[in-house]
Amino acid sequence: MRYIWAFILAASVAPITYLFSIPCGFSCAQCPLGGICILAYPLIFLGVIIIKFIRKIKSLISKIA
Amino acid sequence: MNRFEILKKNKWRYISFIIGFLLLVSPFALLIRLEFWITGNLAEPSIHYACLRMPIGWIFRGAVNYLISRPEMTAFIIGVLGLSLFLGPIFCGWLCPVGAVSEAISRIIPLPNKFRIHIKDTNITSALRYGFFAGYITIYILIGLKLSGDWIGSICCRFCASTILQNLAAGIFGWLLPTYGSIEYWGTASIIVLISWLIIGGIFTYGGRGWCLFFCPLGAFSNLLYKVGAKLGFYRITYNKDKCSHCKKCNLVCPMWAIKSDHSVETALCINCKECVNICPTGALTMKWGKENATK
Repeated sequence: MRYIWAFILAASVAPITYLFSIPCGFSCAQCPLGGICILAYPLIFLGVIIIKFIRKIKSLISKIA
Repeated sequence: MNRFEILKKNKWRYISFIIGFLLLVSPFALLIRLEFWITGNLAEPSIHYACLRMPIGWIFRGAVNYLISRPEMTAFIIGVLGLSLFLGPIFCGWLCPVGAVSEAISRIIPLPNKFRIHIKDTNITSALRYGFFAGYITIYILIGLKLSGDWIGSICCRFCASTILQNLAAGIFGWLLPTYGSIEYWGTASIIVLISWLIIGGIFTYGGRGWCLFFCPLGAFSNLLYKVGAKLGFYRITYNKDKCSHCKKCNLVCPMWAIKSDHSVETALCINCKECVNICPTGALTMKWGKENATK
């Protein structure tokens, strides 16, 4: 059942992405965000990495304490 | 076996990646240039002429005459898919410049593996890969049937990693060819693809083949044909469980997460790169022709 859900989830990604990207695909930086999405993705990933490091640091401190 | 020994053992594969870049990516595009020279096409050759979406769109639109009037595109698709049936997806594993660049970036940037995405269940990876492929084909058909309007076709190029690679190459090597003009498909979607292909798919994915695994329709199609070809007894990877020492070295080097939990190879994901065959210390993984000892 897990595999079927994974398949359905992945199959819906491309059509949904196309629907969402139609307005901005033709006019980059013309939208109210002014192209902020260019920065958003790297920032999200940077955030994930920082959170991972903070968890490590916290566990290290708790071990020492 | 350290990183340099792996590089040495697979040197022909890495050399062929450079050849693949020179064959397909403008301003070089030597293969497409040759095709254009034979067919008398005066257009500027680029990887744009090795497109999967357009021929499928033409078929569903009923414009089959394009398949004849654009022979370079038809020949490329038939060539890649035909090779996949008889020899496995060797285009993906040995020539594709898009996969080569992301794989190279993954190896160059020494990010610890704990920060990298790695799905170990090959069935989940296959379900995600072929699910996305099904969604992609739906879009092709919609474009082909003109249900979504013709203009959506150019949006596909914005989501194409090959186009992004072509634009990057134009920026770096464009000065070599004064008449060369890059394909103008830069935009928000291109940046998202660039991030998904090189950053998420390259740096943050184990093996650096995230784009190939989940988003490349040509790769998924090639692997379906490889699966059929392997069942029919064409050139394929085989696993001998009696020889296997369960050292898991194959698991560590496979860029496509194609090694199953029992250490056999999932042909729906394997790109015949032979990294696992070259690293296997007992010879449990080998390449074979013929019907006997079918791939497990």
